[in-house]
Amino acid sequence: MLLTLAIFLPLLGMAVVLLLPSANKNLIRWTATAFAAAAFIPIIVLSKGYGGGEGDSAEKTLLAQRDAVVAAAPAAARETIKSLLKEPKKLTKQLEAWSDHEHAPASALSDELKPLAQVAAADAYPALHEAWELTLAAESVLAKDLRYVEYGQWIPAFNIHYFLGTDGLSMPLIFLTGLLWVLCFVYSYSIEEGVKGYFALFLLLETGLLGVFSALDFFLFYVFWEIVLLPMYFLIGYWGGPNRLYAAIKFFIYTLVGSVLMLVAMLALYWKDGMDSFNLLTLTSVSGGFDMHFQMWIFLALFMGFAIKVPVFPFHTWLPDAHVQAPTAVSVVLAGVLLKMGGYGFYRFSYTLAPDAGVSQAMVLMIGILGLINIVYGALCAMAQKDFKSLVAYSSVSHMGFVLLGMAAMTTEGMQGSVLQMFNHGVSSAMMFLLVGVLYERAHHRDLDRFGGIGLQMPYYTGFAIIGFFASLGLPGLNGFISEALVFMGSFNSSEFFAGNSTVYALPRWIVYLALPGVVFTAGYILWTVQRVYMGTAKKEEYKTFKDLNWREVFSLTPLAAMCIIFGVWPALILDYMNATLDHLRAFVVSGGGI
Amino acid sequence: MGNDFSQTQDLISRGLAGFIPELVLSALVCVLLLADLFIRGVKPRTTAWIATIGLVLAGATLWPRLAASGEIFGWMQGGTQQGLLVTDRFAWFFQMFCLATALATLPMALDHAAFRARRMGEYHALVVAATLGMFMMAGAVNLLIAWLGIEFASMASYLATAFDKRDRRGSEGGIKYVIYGSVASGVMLYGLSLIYGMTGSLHYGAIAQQLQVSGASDLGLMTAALLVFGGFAYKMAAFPMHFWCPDVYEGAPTPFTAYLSVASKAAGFAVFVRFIAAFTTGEGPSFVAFGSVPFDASFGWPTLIAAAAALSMTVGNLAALWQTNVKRMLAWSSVAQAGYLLMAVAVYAAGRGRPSGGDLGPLIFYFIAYFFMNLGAFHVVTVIASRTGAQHVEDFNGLGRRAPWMAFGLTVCLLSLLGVPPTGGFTGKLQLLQTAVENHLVWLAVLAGINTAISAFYYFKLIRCMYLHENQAGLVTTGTTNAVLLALLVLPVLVLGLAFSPFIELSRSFGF
Amino acid sequence: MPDTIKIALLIVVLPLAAWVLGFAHAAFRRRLPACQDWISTVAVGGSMALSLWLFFTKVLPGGGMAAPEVWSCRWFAIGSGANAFILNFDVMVDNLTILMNCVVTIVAFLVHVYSRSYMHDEDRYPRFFLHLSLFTFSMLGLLVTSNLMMLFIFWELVGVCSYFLIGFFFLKKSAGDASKKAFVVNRIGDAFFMAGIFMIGGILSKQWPGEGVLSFQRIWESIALLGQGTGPWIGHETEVALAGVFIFMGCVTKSAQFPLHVWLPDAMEGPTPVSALIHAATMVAAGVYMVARMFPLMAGKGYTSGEFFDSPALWVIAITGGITALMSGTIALVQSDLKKGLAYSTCSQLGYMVMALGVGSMGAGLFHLFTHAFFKACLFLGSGSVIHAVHSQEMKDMGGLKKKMPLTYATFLVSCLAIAGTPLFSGFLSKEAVLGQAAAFGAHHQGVLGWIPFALAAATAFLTAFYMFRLLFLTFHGKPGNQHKFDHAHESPFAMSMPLVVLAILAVIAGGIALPGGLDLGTGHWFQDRVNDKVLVQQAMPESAAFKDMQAHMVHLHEPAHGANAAIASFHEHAHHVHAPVMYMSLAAVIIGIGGAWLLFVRRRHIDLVGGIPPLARYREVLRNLYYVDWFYCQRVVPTGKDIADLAKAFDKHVVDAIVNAVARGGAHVAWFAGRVDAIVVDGAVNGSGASMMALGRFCRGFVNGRIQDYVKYTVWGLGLLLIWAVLAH
Repeated sequence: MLLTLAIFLPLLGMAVVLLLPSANKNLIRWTATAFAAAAFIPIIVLSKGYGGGEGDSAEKTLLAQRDAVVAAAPAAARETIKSLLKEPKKLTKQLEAWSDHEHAPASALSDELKPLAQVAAADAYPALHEAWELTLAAESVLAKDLRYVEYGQWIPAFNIHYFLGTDGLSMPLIFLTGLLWVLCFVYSYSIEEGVKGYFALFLLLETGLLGVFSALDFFLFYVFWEIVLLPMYFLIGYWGGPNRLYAAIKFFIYTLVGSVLMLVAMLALYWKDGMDSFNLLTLTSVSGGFDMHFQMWIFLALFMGFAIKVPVFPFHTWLPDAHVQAPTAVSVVLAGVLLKMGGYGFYRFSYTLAPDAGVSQAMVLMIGILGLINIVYGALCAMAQKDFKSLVAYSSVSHMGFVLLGMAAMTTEGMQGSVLQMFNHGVSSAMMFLLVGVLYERAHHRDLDRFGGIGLQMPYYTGFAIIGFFASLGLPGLNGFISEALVFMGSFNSSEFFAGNSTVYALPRWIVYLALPGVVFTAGYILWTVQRVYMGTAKKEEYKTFKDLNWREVFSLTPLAAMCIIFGVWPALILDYMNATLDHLRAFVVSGGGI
Repeated sequence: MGNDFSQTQDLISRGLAGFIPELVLSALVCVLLLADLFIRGVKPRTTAWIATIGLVLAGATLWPRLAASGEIFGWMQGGTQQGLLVTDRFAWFFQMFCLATALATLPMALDHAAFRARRMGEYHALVVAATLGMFMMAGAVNLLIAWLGIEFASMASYLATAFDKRDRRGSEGGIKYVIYGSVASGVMLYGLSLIYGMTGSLHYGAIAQQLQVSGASDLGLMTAALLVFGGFAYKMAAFPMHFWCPDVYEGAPTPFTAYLSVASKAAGFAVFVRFIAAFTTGEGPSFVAFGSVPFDASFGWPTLIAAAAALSMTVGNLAALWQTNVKRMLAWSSVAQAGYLLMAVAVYAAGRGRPSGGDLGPLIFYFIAYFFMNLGAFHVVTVIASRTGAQHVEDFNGLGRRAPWMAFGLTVCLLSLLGVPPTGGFTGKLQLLQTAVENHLVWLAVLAGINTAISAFYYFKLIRCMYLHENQAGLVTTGTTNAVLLALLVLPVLVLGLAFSPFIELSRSFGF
Repeated sequence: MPDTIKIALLIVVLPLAAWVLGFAHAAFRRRLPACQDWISTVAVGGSMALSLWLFFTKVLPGGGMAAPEVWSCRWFAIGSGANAFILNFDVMVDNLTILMNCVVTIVAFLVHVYSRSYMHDEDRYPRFFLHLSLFTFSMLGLLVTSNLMMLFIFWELVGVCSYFLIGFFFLKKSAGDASKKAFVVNRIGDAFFMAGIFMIGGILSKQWPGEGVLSFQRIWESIALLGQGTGPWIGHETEVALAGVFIFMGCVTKSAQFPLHVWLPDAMEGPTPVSALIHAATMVAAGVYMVARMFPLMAGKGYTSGEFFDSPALWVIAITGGITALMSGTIALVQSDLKKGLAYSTCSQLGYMVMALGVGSMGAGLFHLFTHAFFKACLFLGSGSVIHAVHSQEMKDMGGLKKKMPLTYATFLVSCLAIAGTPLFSGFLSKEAVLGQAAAFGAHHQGVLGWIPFALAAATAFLTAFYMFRLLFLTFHGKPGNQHKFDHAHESPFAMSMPLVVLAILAVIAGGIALPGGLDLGTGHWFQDRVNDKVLVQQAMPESAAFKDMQAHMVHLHEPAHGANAAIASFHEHAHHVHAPVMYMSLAAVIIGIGGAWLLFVRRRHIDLVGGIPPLARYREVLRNLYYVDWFYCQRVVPTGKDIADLAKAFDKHVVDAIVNAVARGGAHVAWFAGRVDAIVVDGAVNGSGASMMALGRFCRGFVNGRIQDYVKYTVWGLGLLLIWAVLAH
């Protein structure tokens, strides 16, 4: 129930906020913050519990559910179902015939299913199907690590379930979401216009994101995925900068194109071999058996959906626009969490549903090269920006390249570095956007060339800025370094080998060599920025009147700065969290889906 | 022969018993006209109430037909029964659908500015008459009745479109509608005469049988069927017979536009699906004219319908992009929606003859969703237009502040039309895509997806205006009735998006 | 955890504690503690005391530690089984560590003391000490860790501290520029360094999964195995060489080697104590230290057998070091800024050390590092003292100061003698060791190429004496360059002169530890014994014959062990022979250098060295322009980089985004057309007048006239087309 609680508390909060009088802005702010904080409580409990190995494993929950389903099946069919479930994968092949004959005479059933004819196949079908789904789901690689699973019927007609759970891949992102919302809400007290709508939409956004990170039913995932779009559109479009309308619709349409392709892939999977299942775990446990051709298409369709979110070159151009126009807190969550939806999607869906395609030569090359382009090209573009915020936006493009690079390598180090990079980038880029926002609120412009001498006027703020920017630069001792180092090490390490029935292709080393200069460019633009903004003497008289951080800003920045340092010094804190999940996932992918 | 005759008599008497809803509607038309003529100073509200009671009564009498099945008003020919109308769940659904649309648009019409303080009996009578025509369309198993139903519904629609005599656009729309409609009607009539000539019957069952037994000149039949298709496409407002749509939608009084865009389209689909069912029975191995081999390069019904679907959605969406008149935009949007719906029909046509095929659930489900979202959108447009005279997209600026609930309702409906979760439009479109993908019409599904993205531009144009543009004008008052109607229309959109499982079962049960 | 390790860690942690204290105070009270200077100084003093205690208890008696003390703890572990990747926090304390700890803490402590006086009037005075503490911590951390990844982390940390300290006067644009330049240039080397680390880590973690990777011991062991034809590097021989060169690139930037030395002279923008501590004595030497630690990797597969004199990585190192030494030495000739002169001298000396490593003599390189730290720190602090007195860095403002500042002068002189390599000073021993090794290397190779390092080094030896004394004479001798400044000059306070004296004493005696039968009677060349690979590799290669050979080789002035490898035996032979000539030569260089400087700058008062010597005049511009290396970077590379960035930005905006927009616009155009058709053809009767009609002009008038007929026509066309399709397909 904890996950449900975390997901729907913000929704409840939205309802409450909508009912409050618009005039009482402070009441709205505090209420919204209270709900965000309330949603963070179950998340903390979950994180703690997950780290401590608490919570029922998915396997256990799913099998218990399976037994309940079997027990509820028509009495005459139970034994047959039980015996059939001993070989659930074998059953998979027969499902197509059966789903065609769902309402057809029992004589159409295959030999193995014939016994069910005695109890009228149509009656036994739902139970058998559900039990089959659950058995396979419990057998899947993901079930090993998922905990706090919630499973229930939602749309029986399409075998859609309310299926949530969390593991080492999603837990850090859920935590980050919960945290960022509290911080952003406190930061957003300076929003004066349309307060009610702002906080209501923001709460809705949280529901969507938490849902995305915990949904294990593809359909449910998709619904949450789309829910994220809308509030974002309005948040950018209403509270954004001068060119907000363009940015908002660009964001919306771009993402929609991607998600529509994802939808088609989802449906293709649903119909594959008559499985009629949206259950991610079920699909994962049979995905290794899909033929390569099919996997490729699935992978590519999903890739488009996720790549746009990441964003991968050349689908990244919505990002600078959206960031530059969005209000600060929106940029924070956009960079901090929304981009991670893409990376998360790759690991959660692409690689589990099309494992062979993921390690095929074409995909490894494609993802690797795109990652390289992201890293270098993003850094170069960042260097040329005059607008502080678009510089940070392009730095996101560059940093997310590491996620891709590690992903393409699919080695232990590469993959875990890549996932860690998502988290780290979530922390450091969120911090950078907050920092830009702080400055913008005082200077009312973001032109890098017009700043200078801020370090003298706002020393406290500059201290935070140094931590944030250096974390982003990948300075050892701060969090960004570990993930980048792991990604590089992992991509060097990548080598070709045969596993199961497929070849795992290596990421060519030249890609890594070419990516390394990105590190230098990153240092270049970060240091140049630090110099232009914080060093030197104040370029304008008014800068001398700038007040240092107020308590709200300190409140928002402190946890992020602390995380930059803590996870930089002690990465095991978070790596231990993710290790088992990612290790199993990697083993699954490189073994061709465990087949 | 004698046997046939007695059975025919039997059919007629049974038919009359089963024809009560239509008779109620006919009586209602008369009552409304008479009330309008003879009661001095009759208020719109009065005739609206009469119409409401009549429609509810018709609905009540229609209800038992849910269980009934069989053809009525037929005769026996050669031992087989050839009815004119059929009473089955499919027909019931569409009849009830049209009835509900008529009911829902009544309060809208009351609110419409152009209608205020006018004698409305005539208008109400026309709506009921159109509904009556659609009843016939939904139940027709005979091409002639199908044609008659179309004509009946069209005639009433022409008049209703031009109802506001002072409105130039309305009159013009009416005229165009008439001309276009007569062409369509003529085309269709020509086609069905050819079919009659070739098969010797206008009854679907008989035609299908005849085709199986004798075969026919492929090319001739193809030509004839295409011409008939033209007539149906006109009613569905689908490519290539959609040209009338924007003019008429723009010109007609908004409540009637709402009615047209929902009921008329539904009836068009109902009659078309039955026709398709007859022409792709798939029961015999050698139904030659439009081969049931679905997806090869050969020309066949599934391919034809898929092409029409693709073109409808694309043309509709593209044309809608640059529209600044809201009604016109919604008109093009409804052309696009017809395209999505046609996907389901294409799959249905393809699936005929396969054991798992013939599932009309997605189509019905989408219509349920379409009923709420399209009517909801038109409702808000009507209310706002009558309060502020808004016609153009810019007139909706700042509506989010001026009429928050109306704006919210319209947003939900537009999102649903766009197909974003968690709305009925999404789950409906999901099923349409699902059937397409399942039947290997992936290209069509992808095209529909891309179209969805395109359509976001214009749906969001309106949303953007409502929320992201400022307008200094003050609040818009909307009234309780309108609010209630809005809630009744919008809430189901969300319910259909979140808890649609029962509706899937329900929609599946309305096939035939 | 062994006691030695505990103490070593305590040494590291003390400055960190000082930093954390200050940082926490700043975080919670919004300002630094006023007594940060005391906190930092006491902390580093504690570290120094502990280091010295270790030195006197562990290193001095009994020939030093026989084997390193090691300890490690898990930093993080990911993966499992054969795919595990485990990174440990490895700590190793051996003789070298302790010695280096002593150097760092002594210099750091003295600089702290010095700065309390020198920096006292500066703004942000407490912050200066905060940075110093962090730097000391990082530098000590770099020394105690024995894991390449950890080393890299501390390596970057010292880099960032250097960044903060160079940019300490960040109100000055030049300071900001210099700090940025230092960091970015270092980042270039670090990118290579990282590549090297990743290569090693990648291969080792795969070959030896489940164990801590990147620890020095593992790396040495792997190289030792390679020499025996087994181990993880088999099949990756190219990677060994490449990784060696890549890792050396880290040293090239950190230790300011050609061609990436350009940041170091600019780094003199930092406060002078910082220059002394970071940019002379410690941080810049970290590169040399690191290469020494990674020496087996550079030497490659011939390492254990002693056949490494042809290792490509070592050749690169030797040549780079030699070129740097000579080049920086020549540039130092024309510097008019005292600190810049010293900076180029530092570059030059670092080049010496690197070259020593390159010719295969770790001991000589490290020895020079050790002695250099003291006299160079002394020189910098002395220059600080002068700058403090005359408020200028330009030597034209100085001159004749020896009367005003006798103590400073004396210490400066001692240090100059040391760096020039005068007998009885520490620099003599270390420099002579380097030269001797280079000469042996040349002789061993029996070809002209082999003599290149020696030739470069010998030329530099002469230059060193010359330019150092040029600095000395111009500053302290002759007439005052600026009478006003001269009049106000005064000897520095005790807090500043005390460190000078201590360092000067060390500059004299530090070399003594390497004297035969020196401090520790009876063990011979104990410095080289203790620093050498015996201790380094013992863990990996306990008792092999190869190890014994190597051990014999490292004690190079002794007879090779019986039955030693032919290559080593030959090298020893040569070393033995060249030893005496080299010593004479080096003596000659000192005499000529000092004498020349005296002639030119005391007798004839040339400030501008080459101005008065016609044949050299034409090179003056080249030297003044630093061989155009800096110019090349600043005028060519950086602008090109910015151009590329601008290009990328433009590409992004005008191509990538334009494509996106074009797709959207293309769709919109189609839609526009559809909309126009709708507006003109379909809706023409109603609003066909006005704009839409004008837009399509006469052409459309045809459409406009017969609207309804037209669209009926289109309908028929549409149906007709379908029919044609049907017929054709049929």
